[in-house]
Amino acid sequence: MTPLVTIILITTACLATLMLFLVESWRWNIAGLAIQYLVVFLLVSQIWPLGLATIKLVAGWMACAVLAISRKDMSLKEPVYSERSVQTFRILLGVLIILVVFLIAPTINTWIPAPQPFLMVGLILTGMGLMQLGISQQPFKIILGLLILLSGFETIYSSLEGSALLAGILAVITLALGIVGSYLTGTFSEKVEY
Amino acid sequence: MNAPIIWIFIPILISAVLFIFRKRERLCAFLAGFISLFLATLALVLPIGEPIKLGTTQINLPSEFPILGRKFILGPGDGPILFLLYVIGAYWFFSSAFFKVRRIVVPIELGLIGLLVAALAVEPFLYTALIIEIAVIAMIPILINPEQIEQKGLLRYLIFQTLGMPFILLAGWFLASGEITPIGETQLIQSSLLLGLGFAFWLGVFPLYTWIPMMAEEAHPQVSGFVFSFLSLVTFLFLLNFLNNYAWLRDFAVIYPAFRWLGSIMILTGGVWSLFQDNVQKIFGFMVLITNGFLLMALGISGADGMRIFTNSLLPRMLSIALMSFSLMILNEDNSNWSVNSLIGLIREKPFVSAGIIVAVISVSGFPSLASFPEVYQLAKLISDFSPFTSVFLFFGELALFGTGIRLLSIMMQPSSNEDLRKEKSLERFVIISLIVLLLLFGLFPSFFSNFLSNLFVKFTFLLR
Repeated sequence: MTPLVTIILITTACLATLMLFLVESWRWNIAGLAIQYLVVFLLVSQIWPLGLATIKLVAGWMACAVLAISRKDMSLKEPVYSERSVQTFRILLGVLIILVVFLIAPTINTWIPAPQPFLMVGLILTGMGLMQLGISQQPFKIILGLLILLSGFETIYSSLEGSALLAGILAVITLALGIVGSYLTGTFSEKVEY
Repeated sequence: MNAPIIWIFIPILISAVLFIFRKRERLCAFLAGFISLFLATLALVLPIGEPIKLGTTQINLPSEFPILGRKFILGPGDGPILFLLYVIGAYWFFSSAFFKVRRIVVPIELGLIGLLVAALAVEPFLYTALIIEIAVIAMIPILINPEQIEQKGLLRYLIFQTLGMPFILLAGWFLASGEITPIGETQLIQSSLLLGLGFAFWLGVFPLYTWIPMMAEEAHPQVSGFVFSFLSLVTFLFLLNFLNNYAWLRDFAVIYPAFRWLGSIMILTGGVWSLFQDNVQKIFGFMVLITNGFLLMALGISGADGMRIFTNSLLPRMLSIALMSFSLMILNEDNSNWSVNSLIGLIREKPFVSAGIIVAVISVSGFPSLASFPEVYQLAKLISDFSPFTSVFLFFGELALFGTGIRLLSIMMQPSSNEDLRKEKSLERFVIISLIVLLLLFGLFPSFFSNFLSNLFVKFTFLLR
């Protein structure tokens, strides 16, 4: 992988997760998540056979689609937290996480011998996912946080373990989280069967 | 036909069939109960991995089921564990037949038992982490309580359980590399740290236990009881697998003291917090937390003694959870007010339910003549040799839980003018009395039951030395 491609992928991962972190609109959130899965796929396809790497993209996008279906009835006007203080806080937090990742990645690399781009993207996603989980209370945002976190972990883990069965089960987990997210947040939860 | 098909795939398949017929709730509950009992009996009767002679014909029951290069293995040593899992499952299914639980609960619970057995049987056993995560996600629909507007405990449960999985997988990767090359001190610390974090998230080890009381407060008592009974048990078995398989992990000086300290802190904090709770279901959650802490503390005593206490504590733990949950299910039929003050006068209106709640709580606290007493006594005696501080924590934690029981009793004995509550049905009384008698029998004749329980973990040969 050329340095330019690496920089582009890391930058895209940063921007996609920041978009998930800062924007309240569910459409932009889903779009950010989809871009993030694309970045993970492009990275993983460098070391895995293309067919196997595609599992991550397909499962991720399917989870995005399932989450989007559950939100489709939501009104176009969503509550947007446009207060400057909230946005500033979130931007600072996001930037802080990215900075911390850049600082700790070399140390982590002595623990986990993953290639640098994998570690960077993985840690950025994991950190952003954790932060999302820490500051969110809505089920939709929490599921997004879990999906971001897991995709970050999968990015790192894929460079350590290349088992097809493992990739398949992780894809099932991603998809199941998407379904649970839609069950918790969407139309299902409004008419839960007793 | 092989053993994994019988105890893993058939229950999952039947659960799918029951899901289709879920509108016939009682039928589903009874069917699931009888199937569980049948599978439990098979686990006792069938010699797994050995030929079975039926007259002149001979049937083989292989213990392996290969799938995509991996295997599900249920060996002869797994029979008692399968029996225990399916008997407990049968109890939960039969108990759900008499109460208003959601239709999807029973089919999903049966499938969950199959999944959890799969988690224990899969080789390489690191896949257990993934199967447990799938089971955790599958539990979400049944944990949703339609009467609750928001369920923070449910979300926290999902977050904590999901956070545990990556740590376990990474630790497994470290450990697997240790099988190829000798593992260094740094690697040992790293893998132990990852493993510790993973299990801390899964078991609700201090301070990551907030989801347990929150979930107990939100979910239906039948569902929370089921989840608490099975999930921790399977997680503990997975932990035992790790310890049994990796000698250097067992020999790592930090492991056993960490179990003792974390377990004792769980018991102390659980006991103290339960004393100040105003919600009966939260008290149930803290009671479960204390039982988990106790099991962890028992593992902190290395060798056969620790394993014996661990094994003998399992059934009393299950019985206490079953009794508390059953009593709460009866209360749940009347109202959804779980405040401790709603129990005022309960001893006159529902004496058996009151007795069930009190006995469950004080049994876990190690009250003499009840089920947990012999093991609490044994643990206190042994642990004081290792670290006196942890035995002090154990004492005060159990004392605080006993105080909670006395507090509940005093509230129940207060006079009340509420006469709207329905009386207990005779079947409900019978179940409560049976569970109390079992708890008493365990407490009075511990050696009688320990003979059966000692067979549960024969496969962990290195831990029993």
